[in-house]
Amino acid sequence: MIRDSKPKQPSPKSGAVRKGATLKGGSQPRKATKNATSEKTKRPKKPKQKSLKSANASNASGLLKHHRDCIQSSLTRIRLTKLASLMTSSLVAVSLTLPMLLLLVVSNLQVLSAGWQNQLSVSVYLDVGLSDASVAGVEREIQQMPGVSSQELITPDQGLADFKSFAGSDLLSLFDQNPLPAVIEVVPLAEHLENPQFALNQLALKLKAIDGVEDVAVDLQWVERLLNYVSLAERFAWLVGFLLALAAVLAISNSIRLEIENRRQEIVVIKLVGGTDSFIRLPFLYSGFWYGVLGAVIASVCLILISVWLSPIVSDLLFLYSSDIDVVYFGFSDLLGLFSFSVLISVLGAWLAVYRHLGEIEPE
Amino acid sequence: MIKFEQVTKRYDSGQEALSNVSFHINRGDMAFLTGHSGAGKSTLLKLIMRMETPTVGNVMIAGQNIAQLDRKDIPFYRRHIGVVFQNHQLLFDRSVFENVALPMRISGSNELEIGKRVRAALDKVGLLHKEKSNPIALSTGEQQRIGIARAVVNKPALLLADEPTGNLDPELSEEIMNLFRDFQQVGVTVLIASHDHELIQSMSLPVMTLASGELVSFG
Repeated sequence: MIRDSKPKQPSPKSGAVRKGATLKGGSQPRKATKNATSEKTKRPKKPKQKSLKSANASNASGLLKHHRDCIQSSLTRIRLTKLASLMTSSLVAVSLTLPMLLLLVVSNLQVLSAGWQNQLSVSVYLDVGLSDASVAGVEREIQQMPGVSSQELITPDQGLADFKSFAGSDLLSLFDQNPLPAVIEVVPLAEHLENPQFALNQLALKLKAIDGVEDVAVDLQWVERLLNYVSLAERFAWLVGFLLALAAVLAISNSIRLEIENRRQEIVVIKLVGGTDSFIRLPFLYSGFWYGVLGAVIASVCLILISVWLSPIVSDLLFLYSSDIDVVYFGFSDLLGLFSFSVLISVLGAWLAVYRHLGEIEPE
Repeated sequence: MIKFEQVTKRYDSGQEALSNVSFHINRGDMAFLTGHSGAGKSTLLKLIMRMETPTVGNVMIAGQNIAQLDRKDIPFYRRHIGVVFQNHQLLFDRSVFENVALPMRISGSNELEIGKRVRAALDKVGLLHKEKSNPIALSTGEQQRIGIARAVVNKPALLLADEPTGNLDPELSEEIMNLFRDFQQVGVTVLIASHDHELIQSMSLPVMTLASGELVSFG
């Protein structure tokens, strides 16, 4: 009660005092004297020039204020329409998360297969029962070949032991003799791997021509295929990303269109009292901006959660492949890119809606 | 200030809203525009506001043919005109102060200037104590006065009013007319569209009468 009555009492008083002041010497009568002194013929041009100038001069602070107002009001509007805004932003988030995950998988596969490519070797199977001296001869011949980095002999006995430990059975003891041939693992020189398919095939042909060599197995094709699949997957990720970004742009555009429709009266009034298109446009562009920021935040959280969720399985898998390759996760620059892209497509969506629909709204 | 030179406005539908209308209102004058609904009052105001362009003839405002304004110049042109709407066109998502401040925010004035001029305008219409209220909480008469405060806050050279007393009782109507009178006395050109005959007669001001698009009398 006391609080209520306090501001009420002085306000009519001050109103009355100010009213009296205005009538005696306030802004309006001052204008009257100004008008009286200024000549009638001068007046037509004067107000136009004055206000065009003042519009430019005070634009800096006024524009800044308008930006601040728009940032605030668009945030408030998003807070007021929590669910709808969250849905729009989530759509942006999903359209970012999915291609980002695909690209993450692709870049990991690329790193992994690049590692495998460097570990390539050619298996040279020697004739069964070849004497140790002949095996040594073959080894010598391989050593002199260009393009060979190193070689490792796996004797039939070693092969048998490996098989036993690997297969876990004594199947091969059914044979009277060890049926396994001696195998030489030849590791080609790395510089020949720029065109691995060709270099390895050449090497394989030469190896096969050596006396005492039964067969040569090049373990390359599956890596080649994998690489092809990976680049296919990469393109697929970009395609999905593009389509989803398009969907996000349209969704944002639709949300902004609804917002424009809801604020039709405000737009009409602003147009009638001399608001420029850019003045009217700004709050909607900021709405788009916030959708983008919110979408990027949701997407980042999703990606981090998914990474955390998947990482134990991925490390186990890598351990099984006894790979010493580190898993590629998102870096700061990726998240920065995510934010920029998200804001970009969202503002683009808002821009689209603003350009399509603001022009339609004209005062009647 | 306002000069119509043989203005005809034909809409796309073929309807002729104004036919060969010519008149001249001097700077600082105040005049009424009257006629039955559909006589062309709104079209005439829209032509001045540059919401429409004439099919034939020229609309000269302050010596300038406003049909020649670029689209991007129209907002700046409108800043010289204060408009009072029949349905006041206030925005209910902001305070009385912000409603009146809108034209100044649009023209990019600084906060100090805005505060001063908005309060002066509210004071002029006697509603300074309501600056923090939401306009939805005000009576029709008060809302109309807020609309007037918004129309004059930028100190326009020209004040247009479309049925400003449409929903008001005679007492309030007179109050509002006196406000317009005050503005005219400080040099603002005022044009009021109204079909309130009693009010018009009580004011002894020049009256333009439109009948089916033609100016039948002015004086």
